[in-house]
Amino acid sequence: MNELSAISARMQLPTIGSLFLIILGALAAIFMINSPWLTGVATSSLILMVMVVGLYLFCGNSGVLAFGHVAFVAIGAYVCGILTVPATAKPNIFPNLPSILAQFSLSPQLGVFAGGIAAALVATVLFYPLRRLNTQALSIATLAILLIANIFFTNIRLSSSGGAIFRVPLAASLWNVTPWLLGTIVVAMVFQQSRLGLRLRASREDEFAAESGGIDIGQTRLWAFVLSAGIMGIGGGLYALSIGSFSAADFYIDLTILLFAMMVVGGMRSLSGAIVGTTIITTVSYTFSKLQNGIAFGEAKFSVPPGTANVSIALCMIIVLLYRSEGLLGDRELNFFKSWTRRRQT
Amino acid sequence: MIYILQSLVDAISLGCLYALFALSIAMIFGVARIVNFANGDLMTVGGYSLLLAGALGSIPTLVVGLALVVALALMMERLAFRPIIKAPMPTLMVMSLGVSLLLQNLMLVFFGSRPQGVSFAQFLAEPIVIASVRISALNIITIIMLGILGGGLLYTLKRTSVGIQLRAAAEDFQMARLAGVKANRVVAASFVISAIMAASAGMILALQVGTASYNLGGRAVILGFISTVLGGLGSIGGAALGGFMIGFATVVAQIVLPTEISAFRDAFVFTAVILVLLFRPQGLFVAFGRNLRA
Repeated sequence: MNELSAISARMQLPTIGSLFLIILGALAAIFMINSPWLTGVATSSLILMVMVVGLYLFCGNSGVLAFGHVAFVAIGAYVCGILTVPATAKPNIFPNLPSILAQFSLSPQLGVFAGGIAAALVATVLFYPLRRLNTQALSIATLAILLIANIFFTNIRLSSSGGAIFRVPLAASLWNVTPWLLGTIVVAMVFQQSRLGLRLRASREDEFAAESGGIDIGQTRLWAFVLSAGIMGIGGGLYALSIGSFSAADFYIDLTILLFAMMVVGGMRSLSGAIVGTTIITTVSYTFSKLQNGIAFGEAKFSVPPGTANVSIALCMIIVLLYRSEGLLGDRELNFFKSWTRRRQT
Repeated sequence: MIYILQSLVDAISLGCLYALFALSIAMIFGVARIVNFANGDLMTVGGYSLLLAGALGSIPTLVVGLALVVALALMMERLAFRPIIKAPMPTLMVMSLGVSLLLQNLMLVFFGSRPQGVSFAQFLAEPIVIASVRISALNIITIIMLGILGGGLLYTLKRTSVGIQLRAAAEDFQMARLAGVKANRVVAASFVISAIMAASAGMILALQVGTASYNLGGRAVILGFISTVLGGLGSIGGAALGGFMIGFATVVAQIVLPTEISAFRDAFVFTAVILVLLFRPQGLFVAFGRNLRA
């Protein structure tokens, strides 16, 4: 029994349970309401949540703002897209593809997995030399990676229309995105409780003290970077499957700022914060985008000008930072089972 | 020969423009340790202000535009940054992202997504021919602008009381405060100087493209950052040099690279920046022994 509670404490099972409860509860509500618009919105929100968890895994634990993580979303999306487009359609869409890749197509879920692996591999190669940079230079170097990736994917002669990809099977649904998200949350939690995660958090609090305590900060950051890039790649693969056609412009500053807003509003220093922040921001932003497209009140049609949704996101972000600069949750992780576990222990 | 001379002027002028971007970023970072993404939107406001030219005439437009951008920068400092100035750097960085998102989309709400034509001093787009070398007047103006603003900045920093306080604060903020420098005032001063640079850069950008749009300054601010890091965070002269080098290198890459891959020229330049950072993570022009922990 003692052993079991030790594992539970180590894995933060109550927190994982609480987060699962929130997500599954929301899914149950959506299932009952059963509106196609809401289901679509929920699917893209869950995919964004995968990306925010990935971003959090590196930025939250290391304290380094990595502005370039969306580049790995792009890699995941492109790899998944290229691998899953139906083989019969490939010669038309990708005239320049090597024949090995042109002859087969993977099942969508395998494509997502491949996207994650590809992103992690690229991240390993890129971050290995960067790992010695100090915190600020590292932030900006990752920003440079985002710019390079954007230029690359814009100008690459991949398909008949340059860097755009289309006819990716629309295979993402609420039911197959959810397991990816839940898995991602478990990975992030296990990582942050592991020896590596704790070292990384120590380096976040005080780089110099951590280093004199024998922590190789560069090496520790490398592991976190690769793992989080892999999750971003998975998010990118899911995005490709949910949208069907996309281009380099989808993976640039706008998405980067959106993901940061989601991570920061809930609290950059806790995994629960990432989930809570994503929930709040997606709710606000989809409400206003619905308004932007116009809502009919009987005869009259009411709409707000384009840009309003982003203004509302920005206001959320600014207000939270002004009044709770650590984010809504700060350091805390959610735990709905507190009284329950305490009673068991006594 | 003529081609080389023309390209040289292009390279110098782009270098000067990027140096302006970098100065605008480095001014605030040097003093307040704020990496301000919203500076790009100040440039955009500067660009949009040229639309007033039809109603006001050219010289008043420049003055009003400058005043508008400076006022906006002061408001930003007072409302968004001053309340959380003691927060750790990532928080300030994220705050600037939020402010930038707000400003950019407010402009989208007011002006719409379509670029608006700027009809300001048409003669600037006409080329000037000197000894059969054709140079656009705007290129010359850009170079002169950097000269004037850089000179003004140098004078302010070296000779005026505000400038000396700014330098003291950039060196060691806590120590400067102990010696009687008013923290809020010196941060506000850095925002004003940065806004002047941003307004000029924004106007030049809008004239170059011929239009003003809500994301005019988006790329510029990122170039400004990368230049600042290349030059060395915290070194104002270094940032300007870093910007100049990136601008110059971009034009050189455009000429040297074969046409099939010249679309990738910025990627080559940024890769070079990353390579430089690998060997000098603190930047190219940082004073030796500077305490980075402070």
